[in-house]
Amino acid sequence: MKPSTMASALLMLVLVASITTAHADGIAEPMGVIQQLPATYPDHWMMIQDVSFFHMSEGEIVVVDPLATTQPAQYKGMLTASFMAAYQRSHSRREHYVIETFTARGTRGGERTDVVTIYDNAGLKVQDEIVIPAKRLNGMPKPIATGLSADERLLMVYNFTPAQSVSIVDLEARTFVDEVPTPGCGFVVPIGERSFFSLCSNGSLRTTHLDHTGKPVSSEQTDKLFDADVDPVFEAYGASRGVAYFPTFQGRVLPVDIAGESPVQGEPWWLTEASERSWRPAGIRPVITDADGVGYFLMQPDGAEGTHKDGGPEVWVFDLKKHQRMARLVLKNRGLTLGTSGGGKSRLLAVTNTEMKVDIYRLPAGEFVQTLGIEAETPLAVHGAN
Amino acid sequence: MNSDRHSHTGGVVDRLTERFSRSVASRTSRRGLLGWLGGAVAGGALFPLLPVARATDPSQATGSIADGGDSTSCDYWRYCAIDGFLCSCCGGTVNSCPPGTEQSPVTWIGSCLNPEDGKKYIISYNDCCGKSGCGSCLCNRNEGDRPMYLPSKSNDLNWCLGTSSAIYNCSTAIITGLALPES
Repeated sequence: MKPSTMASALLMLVLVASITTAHADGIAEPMGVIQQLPATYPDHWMMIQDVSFFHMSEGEIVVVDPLATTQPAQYKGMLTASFMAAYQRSHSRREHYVIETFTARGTRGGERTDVVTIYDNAGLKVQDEIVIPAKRLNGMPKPIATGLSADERLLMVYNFTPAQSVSIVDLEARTFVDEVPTPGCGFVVPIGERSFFSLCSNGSLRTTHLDHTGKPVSSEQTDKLFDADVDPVFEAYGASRGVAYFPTFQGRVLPVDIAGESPVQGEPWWLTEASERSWRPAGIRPVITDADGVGYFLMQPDGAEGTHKDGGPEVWVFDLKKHQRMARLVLKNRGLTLGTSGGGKSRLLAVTNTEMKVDIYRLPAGEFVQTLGIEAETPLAVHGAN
Repeated sequence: MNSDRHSHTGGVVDRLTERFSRSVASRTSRRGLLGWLGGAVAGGALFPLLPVARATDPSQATGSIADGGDSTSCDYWRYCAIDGFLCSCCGGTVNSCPPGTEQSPVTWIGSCLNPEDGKKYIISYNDCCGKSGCGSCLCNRNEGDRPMYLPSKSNDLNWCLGTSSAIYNCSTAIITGLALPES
């Protein structure tokens, strides 16, 4: 035995002896311990998605307690989310779904594989993976890039190659079901029990009806409901009491009844008075709603052509049924996108601000709670646990 | 985030400090790209048909035009509807890709006013693909930008689609011709 090898062996013996002694002393800590989260999250928890714009293959979704007062207490765990991923979750199955993209040669490409990665709530461990057509929309995070059926069984994934289609995934059977062409139309808004509609470039809605297995059975298209060039609806809506509310670039709201299997258009209304039309919705996700028929719109005072992504300094609160403004919340920091979670006295508003930090407010009054300590490059989507 | 590294917004844009969100968007809003093959769409009166075909047809070269300005600045006139890392800062130029990348054959287009001659030009924002994001000179301007369900006018999409690699590196801004006058 060489001297160096002998020295290593002796060192190992010393270490083993030390460990044995420590155990004997009863002070040794257990090794290999992995933390667990509750299978059902508190209503106010949030999943903050860092799309990692500058390192797109390294995106992540952090599970956060937004009311904890320190960064270590806020940060509960993390899911990886590759290449501008989309996200959904099932309350009934207590699972997360990350719809993501991998390439065989990583940062330089190679064969592309798109998957739905399934994580359990408690362990944040991969439970399964469903390969889907390598066509999913790759772009800025939009909440309607994917959708879940009312029973949480079917996942719909918008594809853009640039041909447009929607992949249907059976989350219970853990299988890809079918791909539905949606020519001229994009995104998915689940409606009724087994249908979804897409937003079309001519301002209409194209509805696809599925059977109980997720196979397409029929489709229909509405008349033109909005002008996609002059005053388009954002790729985001808030739903409350069976109605989806789509804000438009110029500041109107297009209500669409989504309770049935076919969409029913309501009468559009303005967020602003005629004298305040320079105030417009703006941001990546400029609207959220609650179950009580209240809508929250991120607004900017200097709206004009090309400012629809600028975010804004205020959130306007509306009674969605009466179309009446209830309050104007002045944000502590200018916001770029909205998220929400919780209920009752723990109903929270999350605002990703222009410094790429997430501010938390308590609703409905808009009381500022804190800026989260979570470090993220580009946290451009916030998903509520509730 | 280091805005000096990630955002190159000089001149006019920088003076609009009130609109910091633009620079934010500049640093954060996706990158952009473009629209759909041949994406001329009703309502876009300034957009000619089949912009991609025009972009790839040498006979459509615009020849010499007055083209002043700093192509590494987000304020440069051609970038009126861009969203991405400027190839001029990434080893390429305003109309060429960095070494070792591959240019996307499909793009979206903008219609930008050239302050030198007061004319509007059709700009094709072809992406360069096959290497990870350049990370320098991220620029986001949204004149004429529309949602992704109107892809011919949306800069929120990754258009490394017709390429062998889906990985986005940077964006060019190539003049394809004069815009048609608005009717």
